[in-house]
Amino acid sequence: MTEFRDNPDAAERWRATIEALEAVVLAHCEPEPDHDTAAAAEEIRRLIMVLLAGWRRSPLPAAWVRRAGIVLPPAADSEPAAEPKEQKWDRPPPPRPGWRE
Amino acid sequence: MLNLLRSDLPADASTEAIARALAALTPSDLVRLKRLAQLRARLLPGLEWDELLNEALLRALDGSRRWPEGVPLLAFLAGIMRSLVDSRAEERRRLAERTLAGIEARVTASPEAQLHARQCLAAITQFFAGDPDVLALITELARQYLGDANKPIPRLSQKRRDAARKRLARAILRGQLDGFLP
Repeated sequence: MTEFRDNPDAAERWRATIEALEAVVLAHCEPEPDHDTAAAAEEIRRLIMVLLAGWRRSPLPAAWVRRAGIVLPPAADSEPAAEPKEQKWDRPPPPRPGWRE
Repeated sequence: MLNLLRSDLPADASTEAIARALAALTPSDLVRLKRLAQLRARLLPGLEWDELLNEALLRALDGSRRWPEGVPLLAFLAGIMRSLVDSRAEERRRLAERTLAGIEARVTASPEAQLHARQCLAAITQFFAGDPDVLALITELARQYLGDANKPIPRLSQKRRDAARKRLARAILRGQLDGFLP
């Protein structure tokens, strides 16, 4: 390790060390985590559950989801949408008749 | 250890398989996933491991990364994290090159990353100072990734090597190493 530390390109050496440690973690099979690591497992489980809940609400791949700001042209045979018959509550009320002498 | 392997599925079925596999991870797998994220995040100073893991999980679930056939889920997620960190490191390297353009330097990593790497290597050496077998194992494994595995290093017997591997894995999985690194 001393020569690793003294090598001028420490970043490459550190990267190789990370790869080595990662390989050890991936290959290590321990049946169950002990008391010290149970909290770490629970933390990751919560993170995954939150992500999965969001994903199940919208399981479409990101590339399929229409993003804000992208306006698609109308289809050639589309008809103009009919005005809804219900009263529109967001319109201002008609002006009151003015006072006349 | 859950060793879920993906079958040959179309993209949408693949993300469904990933979701199911994630929900079925055992506590042991979850701990390993956290430690993998913590290790990988140590490559870039300032990068938070939970941010990295979150991003990797999102990439897996949104279908932008396919789960290759025959690859265990944890190895697949570790690969996504590696790719994400490499992209960010490349961005920082380019930034450093632009900054140093006046002195025509070819930068392999940003100066900040080099300093961080030296500190981390020193910390690992110090952490395992009392266990030369683990240090020898790390050196040997790292050299395989660097492509200079032929250089002479202290060889361990299979028994000592296995024991060192177990001690190293436990130190990582218990989070001892993460608390020790800068």
